[in-house]
Amino acid sequence: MIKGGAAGDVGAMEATYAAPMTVQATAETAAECARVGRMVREHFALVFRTLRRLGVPEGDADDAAQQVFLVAQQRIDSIDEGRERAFLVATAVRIASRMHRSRSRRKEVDDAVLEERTDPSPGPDELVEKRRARELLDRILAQMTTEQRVVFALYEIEQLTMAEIAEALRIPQGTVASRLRRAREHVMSAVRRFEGEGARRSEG
Amino acid sequence: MNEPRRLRDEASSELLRAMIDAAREEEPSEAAIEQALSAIGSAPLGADALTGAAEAQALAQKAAQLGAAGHGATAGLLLKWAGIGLAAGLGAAQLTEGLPFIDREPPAVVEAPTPLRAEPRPEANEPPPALELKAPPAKEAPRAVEAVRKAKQAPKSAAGRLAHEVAALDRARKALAKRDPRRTLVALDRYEREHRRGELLPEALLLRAEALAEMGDREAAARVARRLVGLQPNGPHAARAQALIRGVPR
Repeated sequence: MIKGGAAGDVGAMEATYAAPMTVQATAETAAECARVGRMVREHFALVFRTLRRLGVPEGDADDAAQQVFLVAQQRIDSIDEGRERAFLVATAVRIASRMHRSRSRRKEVDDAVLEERTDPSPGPDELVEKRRARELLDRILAQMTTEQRVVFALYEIEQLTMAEIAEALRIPQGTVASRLRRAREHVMSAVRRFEGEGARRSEG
Repeated sequence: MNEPRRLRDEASSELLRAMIDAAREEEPSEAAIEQALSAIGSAPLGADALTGAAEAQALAQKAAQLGAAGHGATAGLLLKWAGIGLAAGLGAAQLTEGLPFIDREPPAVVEAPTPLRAEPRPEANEPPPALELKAPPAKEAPRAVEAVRKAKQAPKSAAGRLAHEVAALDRARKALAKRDPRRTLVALDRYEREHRRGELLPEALLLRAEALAEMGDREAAARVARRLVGLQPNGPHAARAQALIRGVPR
């Protein structure tokens, strides 16, 4: 503790500055900041992909992912060590859901923004193919209920365990299993339909 | 409960495997990750990024020890380098205040987020300083800690909220005065996140339009200016907004 520092305002500021409680609080802020930073580095891609599979447009996914981590920063005190991923996934699902509702209300604006942000330059063939494959998957996923879509994305794409998904979504594992089963049936059926159409086109 | 095999591993369909592979391989840009780190006030993803968090934690612990031992000035210096200097610390603390989704709800969608850019923060390449036990300038370090302390106190009254808004917009205004539109937009994003229905939203829109014009994006500037005119057709900023719509420089 600094005592008897410079007179007047500077002295008062130094006294405040040197107060152990204040320093302790600031140190906690630094530790929390560092923890959220680690979460960003370790889980940003997972959050980003989850948002994308839940229908958040490519042009909005970065910002939506950022929002997820801002929420994590808000609630950092309530996130237990080792439960970061579950928290982030749950938050991503809620944000995607809210964005979906918001997008439905202002679809025209969104379309314009998406058009502005989409890079029109063609990439290498492989990238184009991957993009098409993702778009096709997203079209199939868009036909499912949100509940099935979330479980499919987390289990099949992010390869979380059923227990992890159940924890993140706060639902029983049995519910995860049944939603996953229905989601897989839907995907398989859609894929067979696409492949059938492709075969018919090539025959014709 | 038995985990079923992943569809990717058991499906015979090449199309299905290609779709799942493509989805698994989708990655965000590094700029997006860096922007997120910047938004939370953490170290950017630079050369020292992987060790940055651990260093920050260690520095913070050291600072706390020093603070308890009576070395306040040195503690402040360490905290500054732990990533909570005036700007970053204030930002991190402010993010914990005043947001509508603090309880259980996620945040509302930010209406007009700043486009993400690949430019690193200016301080990204600065090496961390040696841990010299040198006192900081008499005023600067206390201000940093004081700012964090103040930021952690939520402005409860209307006057407090307004003061908070003014301070937030001041950062944007100062950045614009330095002809730094990128920082201006970052400050405005933060303002809009924290003050979704802020009293000074028209000022924020004008600053955003000016910043976009400064970046050379006249179309976006005009779009924001039109939004401002729509909000306050006869407001104090209407004339300047109209000029921005016409593409007249500052």
